[in-house]
Amino acid sequence: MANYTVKAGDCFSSIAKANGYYKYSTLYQHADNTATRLLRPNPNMLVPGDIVSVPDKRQKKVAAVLDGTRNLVLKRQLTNLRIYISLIDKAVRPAPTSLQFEGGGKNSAALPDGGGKIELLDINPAGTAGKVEIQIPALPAAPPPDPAVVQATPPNNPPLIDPTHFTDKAPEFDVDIVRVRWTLKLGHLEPHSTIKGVLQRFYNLGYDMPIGEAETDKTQLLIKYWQASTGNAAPSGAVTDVRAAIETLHDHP
Amino acid sequence: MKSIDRTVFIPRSADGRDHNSRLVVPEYGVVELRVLQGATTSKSHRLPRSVTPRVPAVLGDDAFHFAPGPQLDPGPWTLDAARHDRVVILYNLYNPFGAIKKAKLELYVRREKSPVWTRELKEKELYDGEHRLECHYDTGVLPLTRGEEWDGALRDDEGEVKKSKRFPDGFVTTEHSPYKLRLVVEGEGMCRSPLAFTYFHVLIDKLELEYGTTEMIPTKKDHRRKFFTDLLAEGTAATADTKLYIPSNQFKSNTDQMFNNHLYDVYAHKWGRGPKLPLVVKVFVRTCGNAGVPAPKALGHTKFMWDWESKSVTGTNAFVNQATNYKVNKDRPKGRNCHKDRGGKRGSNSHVFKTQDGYDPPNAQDGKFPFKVVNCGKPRDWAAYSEAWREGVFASKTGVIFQPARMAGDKYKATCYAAHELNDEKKIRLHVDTDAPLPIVPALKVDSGEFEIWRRIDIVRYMQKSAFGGLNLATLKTYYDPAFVDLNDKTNGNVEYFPAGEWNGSIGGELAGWSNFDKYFVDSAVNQHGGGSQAVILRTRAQVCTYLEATFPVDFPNPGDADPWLTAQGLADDNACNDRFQDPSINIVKKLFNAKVHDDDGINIFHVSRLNHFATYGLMGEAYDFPNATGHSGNDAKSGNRRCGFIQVVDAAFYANYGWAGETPEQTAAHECGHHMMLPHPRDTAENKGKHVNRDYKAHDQGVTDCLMSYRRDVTTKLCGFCQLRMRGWNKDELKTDGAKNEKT
Repeated sequence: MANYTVKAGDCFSSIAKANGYYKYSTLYQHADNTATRLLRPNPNMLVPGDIVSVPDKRQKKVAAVLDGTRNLVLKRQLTNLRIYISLIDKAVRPAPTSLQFEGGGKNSAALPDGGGKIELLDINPAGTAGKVEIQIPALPAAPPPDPAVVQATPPNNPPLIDPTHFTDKAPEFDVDIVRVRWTLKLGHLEPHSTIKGVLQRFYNLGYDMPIGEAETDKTQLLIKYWQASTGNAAPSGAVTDVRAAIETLHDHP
Repeated sequence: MKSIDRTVFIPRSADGRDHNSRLVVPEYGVVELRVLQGATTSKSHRLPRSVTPRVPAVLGDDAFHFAPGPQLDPGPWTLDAARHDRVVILYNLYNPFGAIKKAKLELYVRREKSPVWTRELKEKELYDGEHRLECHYDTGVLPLTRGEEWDGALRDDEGEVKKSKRFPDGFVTTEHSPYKLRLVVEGEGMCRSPLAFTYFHVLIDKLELEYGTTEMIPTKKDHRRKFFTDLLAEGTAATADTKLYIPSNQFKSNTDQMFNNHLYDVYAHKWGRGPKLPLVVKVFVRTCGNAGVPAPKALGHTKFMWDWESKSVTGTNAFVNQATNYKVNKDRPKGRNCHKDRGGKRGSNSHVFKTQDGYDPPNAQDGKFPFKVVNCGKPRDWAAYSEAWREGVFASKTGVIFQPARMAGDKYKATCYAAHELNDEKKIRLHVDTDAPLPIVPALKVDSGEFEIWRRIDIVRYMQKSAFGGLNLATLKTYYDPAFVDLNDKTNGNVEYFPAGEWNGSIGGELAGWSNFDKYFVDSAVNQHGGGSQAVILRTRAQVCTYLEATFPVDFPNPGDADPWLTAQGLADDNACNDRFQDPSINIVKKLFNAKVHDDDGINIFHVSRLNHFATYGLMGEAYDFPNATGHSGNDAKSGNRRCGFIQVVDAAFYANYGWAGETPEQTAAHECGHHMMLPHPRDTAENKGKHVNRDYKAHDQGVTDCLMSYRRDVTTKLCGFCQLRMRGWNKDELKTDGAKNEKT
């Protein structure tokens, strides 16, 4: 029996794989990991520094006959990957351009589907990196310009607004195709019970959230933005106040 | 192609686990921006192709307007903190991710690339969703209030107002309206609506014209002030057609003045470039609810253009029409008012609205005009610009000194335009090379009534020796109406009578000075006043004979002896007696009525039914220079005599005896008035002889013979065109007696 100190990117699946186990549950359900299991109800979300007990391997004996055939079935628990790509405008379907994963995997569906779901089955648990790239289509063409304003003679009071009289410069914006590239750090999401886990989820959800172990002014401000967007008239900005909700939003789309 | 790169944190999912990871593309944008008050709102616009998950409300329009800043109570015209027209700046950000790093409200005016005001939004002002911008505003009590209302002030987030040359009070103004308010955002992520904008106006709702106060007249000369005070007392609105009666009690002091240009000179000396009328316009700004309110801080340096039109028209006198036709369509403003070449103001640089320096608020200063007025310059150098006060007793008001020419018969209409609107060249749209009226909606201008200039000459006394059928002053007045001279009857219809005792006392002394021979005609026992309305009660020729024979029996022992003697003395009949006693009688009239010259300036008419009973022909009246009039200490040689009087010495029966077709007592009186007002006879009156032979008789229309100043009695005479123009104040030296030569179109 050895104790393993969790590093960023580890989870029970990867630790099991690294230690020659085909089933993460062998470790996760082990009595020596009871405390860890209670602390981390999701075996795929650990926190660096967590201790995982890796039991010694036990020899298994099976009866076999010479010159006979015995089928041995290795029960292996698969490791999968599920991502929902969510665009605010549900009508816009991002066009996938590439999916790259360390450890391969098999698509369960065309990527991404209308709901933006990407699911890869049976990936190598040891893989820690990947990339997803999509393209968001250009906006529809602009409608034809309004006809020129014909002011009455004499001009009315108020006069008609002639937009061409205002010469302020219009800012450029994202009307063309936008490419979005996510670099995936597999196994790095901490449970939402930690501050960092909450902040990581915010980041995944599009926030420019600084990722750290503690709350900062900026984390509070950004959390307030989210709270305000949900109709909270008195946003607090505190992680504790959004922990459950952000977990639901992020982990259970 | 724009790229968004993000590193995200993804868990693996072990068998039997159903958790996912949601990845979201950070988006942000502006949903809408509006200015509103209650249910009335401006319209929000975005750039074409802009999209956000939340869409802007489809409501409002681009005609939204409000009245920025504090307001006055239109009653006492003082600030009333309870009155305001504050609005709400509403915006809606799509910013659920806090991706917006910078958001700025920017205010633009037309044709400018840089904003005139910006305000950066901070912290919770950037929250996702709808916001009502919190602003500082003044409720009349410091410190400033902060709330979800905007009073139009260009303040920063701390409430400091941003004053500038263009926005002198730091409020948006009518001068630079309309405005474009926009909200621009920048951030990290995908932006598909970087701004929203909306338009609003600060509108002048209406202009109200009224007269200013006497204290505004930039002079302390009493007659100029009194002219205006009297006008105010009439109670006529400045927007009503009005006759401007210029006091013109200016009379000759010697005969030569009828022949030279003295009338023009004295009138010019007295009234210079014309009377001065302070015209004031109250400016009202339109509220969101379409009410007009005085909101002085909303005016800024808004210009008001003052223009005038020449409104006089052709009349019935050909000579006058020819003269007023001079350059009728050449100089501007076009029209038939007296041209500057003849002493009037028609023609460029006429300064009907004279430049004024103005002075600073808050209080009125006596004898100074409060508003700054400048000439518009070419091509509208007859017009002027003024600005409004933005605080003080004249807040939300502007004005000019309207100074029409003094020329009677001229008719003016003044118009004040709100002239803040610029054309594409950033020039004032109304500053065009065209006569008024200029194209503008009615709300943005106000017209005065038509001011018609009249000279006013007062009839201050009509006195008879004793009652008899006398003059009709209303009829007398009609002779001068064509010349726009108002013979103003100040007698109120009250015919005065010479007091009997005073008459008898005075005339006794005068008669005592007569020669003994003449005294034969005077019966000392007769009550001279009670004896009749004639100037002197004389014995008839027969009575004189009887008297002589009774008094001098030695010389005239037999009845009938005196008659041939009288004949031998040159008094063969009544006509001879008339000739003898005309002068002694009128001298008495002159002497006695001199004491009755009224203390007020104007014309005195003294009337006896006859000089004596012999007077069946001859003198009917005389424009006598009464010593009490000509010698009045208040007379000003440069301004002419203030008082005059003439003597009318015949009654209606006199005229009836002749059966003249035209001559009447009123015509005679009008003729005599004319002399005092410096009109001479025409050349054909037979007085241009002897010492008068060199007199300048170039004072009448050579084409007519029925001038009032002639001795024609067979027709109803009237002022000839030349006389009319002189009466109107025109420069005699610039007129020809041949009317055609006065016309040079």
